[in-house]
Amino acid sequence: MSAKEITVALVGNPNTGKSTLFNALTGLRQKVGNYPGVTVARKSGRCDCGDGLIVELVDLPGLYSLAAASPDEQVVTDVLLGSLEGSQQPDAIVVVLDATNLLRNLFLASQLAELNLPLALVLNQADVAHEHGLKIDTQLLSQRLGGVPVVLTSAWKGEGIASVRRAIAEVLNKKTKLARLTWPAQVESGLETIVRAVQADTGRAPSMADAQRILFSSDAHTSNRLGWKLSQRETVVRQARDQVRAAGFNPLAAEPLIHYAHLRKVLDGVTSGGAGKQGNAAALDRVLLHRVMGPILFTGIMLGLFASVFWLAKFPMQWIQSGVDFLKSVAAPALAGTPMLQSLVTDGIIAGVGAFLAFLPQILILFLFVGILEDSGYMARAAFIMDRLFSWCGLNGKSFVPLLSGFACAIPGLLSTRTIEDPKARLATAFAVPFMSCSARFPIYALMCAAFIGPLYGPGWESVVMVGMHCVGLIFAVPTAFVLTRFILKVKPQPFVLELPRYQMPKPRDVLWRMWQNAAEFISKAGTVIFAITIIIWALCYFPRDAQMAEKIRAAEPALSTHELQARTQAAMIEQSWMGRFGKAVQPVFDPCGFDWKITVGVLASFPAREVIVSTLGVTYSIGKGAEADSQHLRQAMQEAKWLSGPRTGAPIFSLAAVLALMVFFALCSQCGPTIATLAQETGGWKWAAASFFYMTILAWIMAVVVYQTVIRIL
Amino acid sequence: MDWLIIGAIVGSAAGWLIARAIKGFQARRKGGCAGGCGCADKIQPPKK
Repeated sequence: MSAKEITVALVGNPNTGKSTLFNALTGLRQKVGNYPGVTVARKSGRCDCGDGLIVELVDLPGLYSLAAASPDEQVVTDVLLGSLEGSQQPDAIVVVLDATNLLRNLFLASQLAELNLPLALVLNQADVAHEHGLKIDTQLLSQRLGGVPVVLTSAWKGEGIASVRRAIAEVLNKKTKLARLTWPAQVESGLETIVRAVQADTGRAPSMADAQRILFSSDAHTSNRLGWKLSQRETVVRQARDQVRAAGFNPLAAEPLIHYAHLRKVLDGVTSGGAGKQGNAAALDRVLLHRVMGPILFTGIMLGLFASVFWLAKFPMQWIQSGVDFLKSVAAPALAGTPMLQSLVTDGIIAGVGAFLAFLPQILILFLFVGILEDSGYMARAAFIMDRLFSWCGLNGKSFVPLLSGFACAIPGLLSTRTIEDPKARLATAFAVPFMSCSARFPIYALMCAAFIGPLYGPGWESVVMVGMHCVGLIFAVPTAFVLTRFILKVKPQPFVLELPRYQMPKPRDVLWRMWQNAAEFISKAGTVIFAITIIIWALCYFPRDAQMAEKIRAAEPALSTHELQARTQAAMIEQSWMGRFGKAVQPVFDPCGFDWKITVGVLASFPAREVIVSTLGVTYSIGKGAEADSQHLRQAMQEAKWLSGPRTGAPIFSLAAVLALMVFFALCSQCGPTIATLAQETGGWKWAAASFFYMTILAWIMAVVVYQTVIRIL
Repeated sequence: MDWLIIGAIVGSAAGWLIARAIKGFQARRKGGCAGGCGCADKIQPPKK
């Protein structure tokens, strides 16, 4: 048998450890989050079940029931029903349940029984159940559910994985199916009425699961998929629902009531004990989620996080800088015979890529702390705290997962908006996600804080400004979302239920793995995109070259010393380069923000990807410094940069006003090509993507002007 | 000689960036993510 022949779907509620189990079974790695909705796309891998049986294991997004509301849940339902175009119905289903909350988790399994597919149950987080003193009789549970394999696992600890493999093999061989519940006679009759009517009207016999969706759900997704028109179904569905009412149930609430009544009987005597450590978590939640204490602690944790990032990364950054200097000192003499190549290698590649790579330690430490917070269960609490802040602006509660993801990268944040049911709320959230301060903004904040804020005001202020910069996007996202949801899109407020995961010790392997993934991504970006862009920027800053420049300057000012002449020649060369001319032509637009032509060049070069600013400044300041560049770090070069003409002649270019304006500009500007493209993809056209680009860019410019002009007048 | 080497390096860099942008655009049109966020290899387009 090959992987293509047999597909097994991994299904379960969010936060059951499904993704961790998937990793353990397939050996593949993917992000393991603690808050609901982290899995938004189809993920598959090969799972060896022994005796030559290799199956394709598909990790489906987490869902609580088959009554699909969001597009993400609809995909899961369609895949399981085999109705998704181009996708085959799985050969078997493995339902992952939280062993500590069997009743609620079995509701989905009980619904899945209606699909009549071979099925196995995996009771995950058995270690936590054991800690809570909960005992589960798996044999009795299996017996009551029709003999399906029931396996206890702790995917987090890697326990019980072999049993899951055996259970998959067993379920495929024996075709064991979960026992269906017995519906009350009137409900069964109502379902049969729908099956008959659909078959008569469409010529296709629907499954019992389809009939249940039509009878119990208020949306028309299933009927539309089956091609059952409103005119055909209106009377039939009303009659079927009347039959449900005759049984004493509200049709739209009947399904969970009947399932839960059935499951309570199933679980009677299966579980015993419990409660245990819940008390400590509840006490911790009372503090961390407190209306006043919660936000204060959250701010404190964030301040501590950024302060630690700066403090711990200080020495590794110096080592990288020394390595970059060493490389320059080796390359410069070796290429002395070819000045053009020497400049490309030392001023271009080493200076540009080196300036970018210097932030690797900060990125590593940042993701280490974020990983710890995420895996410990605190991030979901942070979402809960933020929910209060955002709820008044009309954003759907589910918006917080995409917005939180946006703090790492806007793209997965945009993709996770698929978990939001209401299309208008989804659009408003997608519009707000690019405002979140993604990790690509981090290098420019870190550079400015380390070069100017720290030296001027002390190390404590670095973390204050960093937290402030991470809040800038949020501060503007809230009113933007408010206007969008209330006045333009007119989104109806919807209730939000956030499942808080239990507190747990972060697993070092998972945290370190995620840290490594981010580091590898950062290094790979430095070696590919940043490397290539650095070469282009260097060429634009180097050409055209006037070989007579030094003589012309000497003729105009014969009193200049050799050192002065060299510095003036280098400065004149870069000013008359293509990039210099372009920067000078555009600079008047950014002059009110306090940006000189070199910063302007950096800003413009960063529109495809904002992190390019650091390497661009690295190249422009390295070429500008000429022979002195070997001993100059980018920070020092920027600290020494002064206005050479105009009303600000002699004043430092990077004044506090300009530094803050630059950071605010980068916090708000839409400088990421892939984000714009993904926004277009997720909103189904370029209209909203273009609106987002122009809105954010114009807002960034206005706020940079406001900040610069205000601070320059105050100081 | 200098000009030749520099021309080749700069041309290759520009060509590679353009090819990458086109590949990313095509991947996105197929429903995948080539966003440069590192998730391109993790999130696959739905199988047809």
